Amino acid sequence: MDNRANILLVDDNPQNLDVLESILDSPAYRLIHAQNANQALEALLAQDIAAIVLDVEMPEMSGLELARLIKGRKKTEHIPILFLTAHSRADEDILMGYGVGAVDYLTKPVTRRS
Amino acid sequence: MALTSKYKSEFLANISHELRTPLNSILILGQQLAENAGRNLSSKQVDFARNIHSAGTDLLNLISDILDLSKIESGTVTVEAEEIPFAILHDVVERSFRHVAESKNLPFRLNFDPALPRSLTCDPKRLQQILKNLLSNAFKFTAEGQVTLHVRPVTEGWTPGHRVLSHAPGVVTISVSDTGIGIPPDKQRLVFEAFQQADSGTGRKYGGTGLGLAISRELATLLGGEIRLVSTPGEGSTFTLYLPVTYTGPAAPRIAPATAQAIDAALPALPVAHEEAVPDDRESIQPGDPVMLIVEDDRHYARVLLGLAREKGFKGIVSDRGQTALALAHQYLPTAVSLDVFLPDMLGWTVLDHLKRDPATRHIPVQIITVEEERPHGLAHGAFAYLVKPATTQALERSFERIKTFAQPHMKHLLVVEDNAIESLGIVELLGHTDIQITAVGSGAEALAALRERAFDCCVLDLRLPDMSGFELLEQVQGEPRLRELPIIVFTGKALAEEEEKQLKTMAQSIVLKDVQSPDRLLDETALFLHRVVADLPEPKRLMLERLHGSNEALRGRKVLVVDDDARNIFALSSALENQEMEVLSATNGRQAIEIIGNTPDLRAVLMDIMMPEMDGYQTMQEIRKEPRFRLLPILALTAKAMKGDREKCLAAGASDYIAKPVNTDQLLSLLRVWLHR
Repeated sequence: MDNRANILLVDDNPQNLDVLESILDSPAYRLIHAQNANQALEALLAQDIAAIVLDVEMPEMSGLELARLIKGRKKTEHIPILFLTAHSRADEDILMGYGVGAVDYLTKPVTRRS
Repeated sequence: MALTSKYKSEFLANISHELRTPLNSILILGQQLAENAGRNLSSKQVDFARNIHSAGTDLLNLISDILDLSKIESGTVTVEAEEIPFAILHDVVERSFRHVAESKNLPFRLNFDPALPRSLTCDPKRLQQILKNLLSNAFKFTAEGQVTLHVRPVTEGWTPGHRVLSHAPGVVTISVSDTGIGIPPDKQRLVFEAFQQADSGTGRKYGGTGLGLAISRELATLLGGEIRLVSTPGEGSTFTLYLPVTYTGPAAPRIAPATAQAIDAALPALPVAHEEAVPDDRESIQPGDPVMLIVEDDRHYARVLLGLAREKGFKGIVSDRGQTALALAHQYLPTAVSLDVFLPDMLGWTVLDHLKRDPATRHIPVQIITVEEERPHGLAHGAFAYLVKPATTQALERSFERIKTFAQPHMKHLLVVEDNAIESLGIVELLGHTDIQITAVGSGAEALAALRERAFDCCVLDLRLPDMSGFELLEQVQGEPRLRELPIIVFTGKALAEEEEKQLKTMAQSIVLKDVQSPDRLLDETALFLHRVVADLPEPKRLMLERLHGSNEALRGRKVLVVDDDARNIFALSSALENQEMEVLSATNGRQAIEIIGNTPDLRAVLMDIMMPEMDGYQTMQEIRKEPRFRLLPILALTAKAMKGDREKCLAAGASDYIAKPVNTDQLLSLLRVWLHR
C-alpha cells in the first residue's frame, strides 16, 4: 500500500499543472491532477486527500465555488486549501477565498519559494 | 447537429406527454357528451360531440407518432429481440390485414420463400410496427390491383458497405409491393422525412400523419437493417425492409444522451408551472366544515373530484403538487384527502407516507385514486380506500360517501385475537382508550364468528391459536370478499421464519397485513389503521409514538450508493446524507454503479441519476434488476425534469420511487426512511 499523502492539484491549464508538479514533486507525497472542478470532486470522492492546491479561475465552476462545496461536506471540510490566482488584482478574490476557508493564497507565477 | 436533434427529441417527448394529458380529458368528456346520458342534447349536438371525440382521437394518434419518432431519435427505445418463426409472422400479418384487404376489395398475397430459415431473431413489436406502416400505406394508396408481401433470404441488394447487413451471416427481405399511385423519383427520398408526403396535397386526400415512413425508417435502422424504395409513378411502389436474420445491434451508432445540465439549459420552461389553479373553496371554509383535500395534477379530473366532494357536503381544496398538498394538509387539517399517485414533484406514496408519519395528519383518511393497480401497497401504508382511474362516477360517489361517513366522529372497532389471556389483557391495556372499542377473542373460530357478525376497522392477530394456525385463519378471511380489505396486524413476539414471512407476504396481496414485534410498533400500526387522532391519545402513548417517529434510526449507519455523472451533485447529496450519519458510496457512471452494488452486500439503497452519458439511469436500473438478488434493492431515481413520462419510464425501468431535481433534502430523507424502513 502506498502510504504517502495525496495532494490534489486543480488547474484548468495542463501546463500550470506540470509547473506545479515540477515545483512540488517530492517522495513525501503523491500529486493528483485535476483539470476542472468535476475531476477534482471525483478525486475527492475516490480517495483521501491531505491538501488541495486550487486555481481560482476555472471555466464552469470557479475555484471558490469548488472550495465552498468541499468545505460544505463533513468528510472534506478539514482539508486545507491553497488558492492560486493569476494576477494580484484580486484583493476581493483573496478575501472571498479566505471566506470559504483558504489557508493561504499564492499569486501566479508561482515560485518554488512561495 | 446530432446534439440539436437530441434536444429537439427530448423536447418533443416532453411536450407530447403534456399534450396527451389534457387531450385525455377532452376525449373522456367528448365521449360522455356523445352518450347523451341526460337525454337533453339534440342529435346534431350529439354528432358534434362525436366529432370532437373522433378528431381528438386522430390528434392523439398523431401525438403518439411524434412521441414514437422522437423516442427513437433520442435513443430511448430499446430493442427486445426474440426468436420469431416465419410461420407466426405470416399468421400475424395475414390476420391483421385480411379484413383491410377485403374492405378495399383488393387481393392481398403473402409470399414466403421456402428457402427461408425457420425463424429470425428480431424485436417482434418493432417489426410489426414497421410492417403495419408499410402495409397500411400500400392499401391506402392502392385503388385497384393488388398488395403483395414477399419474404425471402437475400445475399445482396442493401446499400453497399452497410454496417450490419454487410457482415451479417444471413439477411432477409420483407417487401411490400402495391399497384398504387407510385412516387416520383425526386420525391422518393422525401417520403422518409417526417411530415412529408410525396404531394403536399396527399395528406388531405389520403389522410395520415406522414410520420409512418419516418418512424419505420428509424426503426429499421434500430433493428440493424434498412428500408429501400423502388417506385414508378402510376404503376406502384415496393418498399423493401432488409433485416439481419439475427439481431446484433442497430445499424447506426446511438447518439450518446446529452448530460442533464445541457438538456435543462436547452429546454424552455414548459407550461405546467403556469397552469391556472382550479378555483376551490379554501377562502370560504368555516370552522366545523368538513374539508376534502384533493391532490390531483390533472386539472379537469380535479374539477370532477371537486364537484363530487361538494355534492357530498365537503368544502374542497385542490392541489396539483405533493409539496403544496402537504403544506395545505398541515394548514387546514382536512377531514379527508383524495390522492393521485403520479404527481409532478413526487409520488403520491411519498405524500401518503408524510401524512401518515406526522402525528398531526396521521388520522386523516386518505383515498387513493390512480391509474396504477397497486392496491395492497396503498392500503398497507394506511390509505383508507383505493380506486383505479378512470373510475366511473358511481364508484367515485360511493367512495366519497364512504369516506364521509368514516370521517364523522365514531367509535372504532378493533378485534384482538390472542389465546393467552395475560397477553390479550396486555394488548387491550396498550391499545385501549375512549376512542376505540376492543373485542378480544381467544380462538380462530371465535374470531371468524366475530368478524362475520359485525364490521371491524382493524384486527390484531397472534399466529398461535388453539384451534387453527393464524395462517389458516388468514386464508379463511381472505376467502370472504367482505373481509378482504380488513387491515390485519400480525403481532408476534418472535421473529418470523423466512418461510412464514413469505407465506404472509403472499396473503398481503389481498388483505392488508403487517407483522409487528414490539408494543410501540403495535400501537403505531393500529393507530394508523384505526385512523386514531394522535393528539387525543393519553400522554404516555403519545410520547411512545413521537419517540418512534422522531428518530433517525432508519438512516443511521446505513449504506447508500449515489450514482451521478456530475460529481457536484454527488458531493451535495453526500453532504446531506452524511449529516444523517449514513455511509455514502458514489459512482459516476452506470458500469461503476453496477460493480459497486455487486461488491457491497450490505448496501441498503441507491440514488440514481437518470441523465448520464453512455449508460443512462434507465439502462443501469434495468441491468441491476436483471440480477434476482437485487430485485428488492430500493433504487430512487433522480429525474431532472418532473415530467409524467419520465416518472413512468423510471418506474418501468425498475426504480422503486423517484424524486425531482433539484433535490429537496427533507423530501429525500423522508423518501429514504420510507424505503429503508421495510
